[in-house]
Amino acid sequence: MRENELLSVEDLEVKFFLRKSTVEAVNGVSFTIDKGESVGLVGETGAGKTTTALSILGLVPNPPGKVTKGAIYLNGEDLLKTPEKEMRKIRGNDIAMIFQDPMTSLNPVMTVGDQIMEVVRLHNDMTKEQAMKRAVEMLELVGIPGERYAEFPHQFSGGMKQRVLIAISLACNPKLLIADEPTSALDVTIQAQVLDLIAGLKEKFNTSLLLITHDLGVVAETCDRVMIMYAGSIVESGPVRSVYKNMKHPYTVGLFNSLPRLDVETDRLEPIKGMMPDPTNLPAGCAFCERCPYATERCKTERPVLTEVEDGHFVACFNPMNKEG
Amino acid sequence: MGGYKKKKEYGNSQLALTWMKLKDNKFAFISFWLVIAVILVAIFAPLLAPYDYAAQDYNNIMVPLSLEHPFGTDQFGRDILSRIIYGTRYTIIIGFGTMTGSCIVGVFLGLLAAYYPKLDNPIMRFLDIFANIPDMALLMCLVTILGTNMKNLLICLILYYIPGFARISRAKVLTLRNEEFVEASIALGASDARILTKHILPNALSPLIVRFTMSTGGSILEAAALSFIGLGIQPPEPEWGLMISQGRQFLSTYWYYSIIPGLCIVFLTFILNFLGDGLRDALDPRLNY
Amino acid sequence: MALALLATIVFLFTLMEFVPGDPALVVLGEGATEENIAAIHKELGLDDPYLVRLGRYLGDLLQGDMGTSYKTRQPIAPAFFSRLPLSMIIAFWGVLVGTILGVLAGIISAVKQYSIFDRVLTVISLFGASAPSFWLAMMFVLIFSVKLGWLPATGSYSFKHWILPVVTIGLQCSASITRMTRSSMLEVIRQDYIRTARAKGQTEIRVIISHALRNAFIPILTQIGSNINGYLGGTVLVESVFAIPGIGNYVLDGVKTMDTPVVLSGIVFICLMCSFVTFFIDMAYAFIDPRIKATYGFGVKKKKKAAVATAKTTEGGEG
Repeated sequence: MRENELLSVEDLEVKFFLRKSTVEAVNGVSFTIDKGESVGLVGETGAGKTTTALSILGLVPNPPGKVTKGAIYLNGEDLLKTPEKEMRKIRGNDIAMIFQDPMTSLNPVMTVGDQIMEVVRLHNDMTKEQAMKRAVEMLELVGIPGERYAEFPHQFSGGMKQRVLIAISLACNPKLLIADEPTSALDVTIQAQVLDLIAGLKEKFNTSLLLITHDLGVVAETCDRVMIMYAGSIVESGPVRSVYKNMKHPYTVGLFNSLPRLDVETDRLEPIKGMMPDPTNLPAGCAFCERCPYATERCKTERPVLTEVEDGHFVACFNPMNKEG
Repeated sequence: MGGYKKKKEYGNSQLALTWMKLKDNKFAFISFWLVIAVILVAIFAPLLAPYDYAAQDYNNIMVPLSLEHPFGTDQFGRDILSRIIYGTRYTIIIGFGTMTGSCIVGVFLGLLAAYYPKLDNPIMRFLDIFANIPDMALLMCLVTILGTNMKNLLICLILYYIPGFARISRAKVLTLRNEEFVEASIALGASDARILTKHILPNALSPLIVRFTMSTGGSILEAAALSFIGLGIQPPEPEWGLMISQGRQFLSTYWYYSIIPGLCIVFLTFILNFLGDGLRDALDPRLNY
Repeated sequence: MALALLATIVFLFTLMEFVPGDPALVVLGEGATEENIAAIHKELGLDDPYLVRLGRYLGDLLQGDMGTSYKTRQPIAPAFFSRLPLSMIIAFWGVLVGTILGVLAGIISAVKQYSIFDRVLTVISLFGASAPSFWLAMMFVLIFSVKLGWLPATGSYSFKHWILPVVTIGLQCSASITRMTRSSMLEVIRQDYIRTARAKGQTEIRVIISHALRNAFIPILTQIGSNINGYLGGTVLVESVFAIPGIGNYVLDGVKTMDTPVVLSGIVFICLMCSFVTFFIDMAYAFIDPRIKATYGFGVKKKKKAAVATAKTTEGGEG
């Protein structure tokens, strides 16, 4: 373990056992996050991003989901082997998560203040008054007047609710903040505000950030490193600059090509053809091979592993591309 | 997940999909066939019953369970098994008759209320009055007016179950009418009748089916209860609730007399409820795996 | 609410107009003479127009006069109210037992969905919903009174006599509450805010009780309300089996003897109690769900606001 390392996920595998089939949601994902680092996790819907995040918190819905393999170390301690009682002390305190949909992520029958106070009191030995004061502070920190403590979620707009959720997640100064598509349910005008808020508070508290998104632009703005996930595996990872400039995996290239660009003259966008493979029935070889224009026979039978192509830049492909972006 | 999706892609109808899902739910599927079996018993009662249900045999009074009389005989020497078998006729007619009647009237009133805003308030407020009176109180009140016999029992129960169907169909129509696919066909110039029959009714069908199945059990219970307190079907008819009531005075010595018809009611209502549960799950598009 | 109740009373009164037969015959019995019948008609004001009689009935009700029984020629109110407490005690305890059992069982089967507990509880509650209450009551009598001899079979003289009726109602009532609690909890447990609560590190039991149950409680409350209403009028079956002299039996006798004033006033009073129950349940909704409270036009909790204000002033004092 490197000294600066906060979180290390090793060969994580999560499966959902349904009545008739087994969904292989996450297949051998490994990565690390350093202290104070921001890492982006990018992929399509259904690529296993949220499941990866939930397994770090030990909240994969069980049944039907189950972590079948791997290890998750937080400061050298394996979270998968930590008993539930200890895990509860870690959740909300050491690792906090902001969920995708602020509209449904707040309890509608509790005041927003009480919801912040709840997490404060769970992890700090505080009286009710102290915790309340802390909750008011947190509200003001995310830009909500403290007078709104006693209001209920239905009295808040979507962006405000997401601020409340950010306040909840940062109330105990977590070491790692997982933000699961924190802006995708919000209006475009609010998205930037919320992202700025997260980035700013992250700097302020020196928190590590795992930002899950499907928006490559957001990652470029906020993150130090990026990991591209496809069908439950990480296909490419590395420093944002290096990956964006010199993308190696055909899927990454496809993702970029499906974005509109101002600097290159094109008539139409190039979407990636086909669909994600059925997660209950993944191919034996590379999961992307059916959609990959460069697939060879080897891709169909053998699963590629992450290999370092330049300093800190890994790719899982037999025929990495040499496209300067 | 995958299996149904594929079937859907191949264009199987809602009915086939529901059937497949129902088949998947073993208990509900068994219940379905048991309900069919009970209906068949009711239809073919004369063929199945070993004795005439009304035949009195004073040489064989209160015979315990035996080969000749599997469920014993009552105080008039009538064979209980035969009476149970004939009793299914009353129960099935009451259960399904009530539901068919109140479903037709209720849906009609619900559609009227939903489609003609002027009628909405009068109809629904009037039905609210009905629905506000507790079940037994309302039924006792209606029986006082109508008197006690099979036909009046049916009318009472139909009246009692109308508000539920009316509410469901009204609520469903009101929400469906604002759905985009309905608005689209209004924009295309489809007539009210066409929208109603082609778009709204098929979509409103599943809550109605579930309600129908669940309430059938309920109405069987209500009918048995009324017969039990002497306000429903009158002796000497072989109705199950009535038989329980008649067996009451012999409870300490001839326990089977009231236990067996009771078990029959429990059994029939149980499978109807199970079927209703299964149908609800099968018709719920959110539960797709 | 008052309007709905008035409408119900008028409706019931009108329904009773359709009772066949001459009430005078009910009073006098068969074979009464013409003069006697005419006298009774005059005495009871039966020949007055419908509206006059309706007005008179409503006026009497307001003064607490529930009319006079045709059969006994006694005022109904005293007879009714002397029987009321017993029915209410049994209905109340029955529903209370049923609610506690039902909510507990419902939570267990929702939290442990598809487990053996869930399956067993589902079957039991379906059984409870499928068994006629009068038959269930008879089975209890058979087991606990006839076979085991632990409890008295009929009557209403002491606490011991109440156990079987209460248990019967409780079991039946718990069946519907279990089913409602289970489905409502299952709906809520899937919600995102439950995941948020878990991500905060909240203990599972608190997640279930203070986050999930409170959100799931509105439909459960509706079910409890409809159970109370059902048993206010529906203890008649249980009362009949256990020979309890409650209001259910009183009205039932009225129905059997065509004693319309008894039926009418009995049912009107049952409806009155139901209106109150419904009203309290509605109030409870607002108490549980702030969104409903907002539609009623209550303000935000003032106490909390004041507390925040003080918290803020102390904060200011320190700074």
